Amino acid sequence: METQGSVSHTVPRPGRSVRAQSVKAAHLGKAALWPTLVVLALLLAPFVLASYPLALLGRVLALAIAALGASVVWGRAGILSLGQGLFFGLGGYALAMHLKLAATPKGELPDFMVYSGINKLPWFWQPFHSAPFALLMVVVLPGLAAYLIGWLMFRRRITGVFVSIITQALVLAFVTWLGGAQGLTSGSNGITDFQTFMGLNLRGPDFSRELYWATLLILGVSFAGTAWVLNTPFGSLLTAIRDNENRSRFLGYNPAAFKVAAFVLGGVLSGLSGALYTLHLGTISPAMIGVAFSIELVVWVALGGRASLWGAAGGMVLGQLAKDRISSAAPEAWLYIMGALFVLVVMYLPEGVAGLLKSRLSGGAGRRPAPLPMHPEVKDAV
Amino acid sequence: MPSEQTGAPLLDVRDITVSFDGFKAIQNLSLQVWPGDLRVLIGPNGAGKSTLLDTIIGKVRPASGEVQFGGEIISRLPEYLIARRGICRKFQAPGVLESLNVRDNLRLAVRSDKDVFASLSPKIRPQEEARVNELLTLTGLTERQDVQAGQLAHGEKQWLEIGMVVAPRPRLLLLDEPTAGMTAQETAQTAELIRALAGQHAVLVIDHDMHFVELLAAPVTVLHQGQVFREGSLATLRDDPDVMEIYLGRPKEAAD
Repeated sequence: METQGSVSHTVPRPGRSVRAQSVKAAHLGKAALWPTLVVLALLLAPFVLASYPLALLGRVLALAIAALGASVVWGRAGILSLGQGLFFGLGGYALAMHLKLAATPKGELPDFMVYSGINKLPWFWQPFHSAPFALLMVVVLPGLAAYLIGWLMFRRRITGVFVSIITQALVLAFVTWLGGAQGLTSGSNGITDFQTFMGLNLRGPDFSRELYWATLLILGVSFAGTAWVLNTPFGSLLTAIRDNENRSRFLGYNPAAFKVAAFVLGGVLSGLSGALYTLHLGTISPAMIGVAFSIELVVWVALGGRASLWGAAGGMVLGQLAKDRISSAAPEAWLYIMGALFVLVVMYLPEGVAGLLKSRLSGGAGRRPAPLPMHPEVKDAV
Repeated sequence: MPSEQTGAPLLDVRDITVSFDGFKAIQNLSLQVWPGDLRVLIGPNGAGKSTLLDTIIGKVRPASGEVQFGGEIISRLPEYLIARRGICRKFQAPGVLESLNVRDNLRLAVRSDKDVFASLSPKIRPQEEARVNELLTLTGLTERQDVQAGQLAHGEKQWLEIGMVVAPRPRLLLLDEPTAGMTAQETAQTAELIRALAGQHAVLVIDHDMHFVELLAAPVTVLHQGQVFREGSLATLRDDPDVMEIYLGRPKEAAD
């Protein structure tokens, strides 16, 4: 098991030798190299890549934000949600509703409503005329949904596989409703044909580059924010509750409250991811956010390493890039390849590729097991 | 038997009955503990010792009767609020936070503000950090503070958990077989530690190890079939044929 974030670094620890600190600094220097290179590469990408690869990269970076959420919820709090697509979808649909209204001439109804014989804009569509409201809803709707679902589950002390089943059922129910409510949501076709967003032309020549920068910025801020949160005592408490819920409870902490908070953070990150992904693809539909998406997210996060933010985000990015390559070359083999990878990771790499790299980095090329008290900076920097 | 019965009891278990699907694990049991008391609970398997502790900390709810702590009825409160009132329990199996290091285990135990939003502040109060150092010294784990708790030896885990339950300075400590799996020397050290803790905290200890109970030199309450069977010093209870009988299952005549 990994060592998790220490409660704080603000108070110097007494009795620490200078040698120990210089060893730590050396580890940090070595471990900081790769993240720096990755960040540099991502910053340079728009100047190097052609338009299709850049669009692809931007799209998978948007998905990496959902992977950060999965790392918090599953990697840190130990809650295996198979329904993150629900929050992803809420964020995506919140933005799509605004984009659809923005693309519809004043006084008219969105095209799919006309086809369904609806003659008045439904009440819950009304406020989405406002872009700030829609942007707010991108985080509020998934956050609220995660709060309600989390509160109902964790207050009743539902854990483990039951959480996975319930969340999976909820995302299935959500996409089934979306698909059936043709006149309200455009059904299984999804919402599409967007034109502008806050004055920006979504079909303009510069938009894909602007969107890439926006995605990179939001990913960076999400990453830093999540890392910060996990490094506070809150992060240690999520680990504590995952390790031993009873011990935490009888120390006076309310485990349900901490799990709900982690679930809300995971939901909000998924919602952000969904909204960005909708902008990248120019559409959102039930097929993009359902059971398959929710499970794929878990697979890539497991492969990369769920306990590490770098692992989770990296797993998602590389997994999606591989999917783009392999599934276009051999579409029928793709699902089998993904399944086989997942089985291999679960059996041989419980901490994913990040866990493997971590022990390589600190343990001298795998000669002996990694020294156990790993510092969170080193772990996250792999 | 308590040393000083003046004033109000700290813990007042009033006539509680606990039943599991009709089986009465505890029947009409009453027990008082005064501030600073050290008390030992013994009894054969199934006597209801652990169930009594479960009831005090709110893990199990009594079918009838109530538990008062510091004059307040606590038997309806959620567990984490009971813990915040000042009751800490060490469980039978070591319950440390395995992926956190020793120091962080103690830090979480020491924290006085236990709400979600408060936990987002990375600041640690200097007096809390001083308390952590004090506890590291108390449990002899100063050298091991950076070790992951999951990597500790069994005895060290037991001591760490004792440190964690002592950390918030609870008014009542419940220790469920604190020496299980310890060597003779560790057991003696633990007895010494617990005797030092009594006085600052009221302590209620469950244990099977008569040698350990002897070292504690405290009043003993014998539970049997969910009821208080006898109270007294270990020496008098040892000579009590009825106590021998419930422990050994021999008829009275044979025990004599």
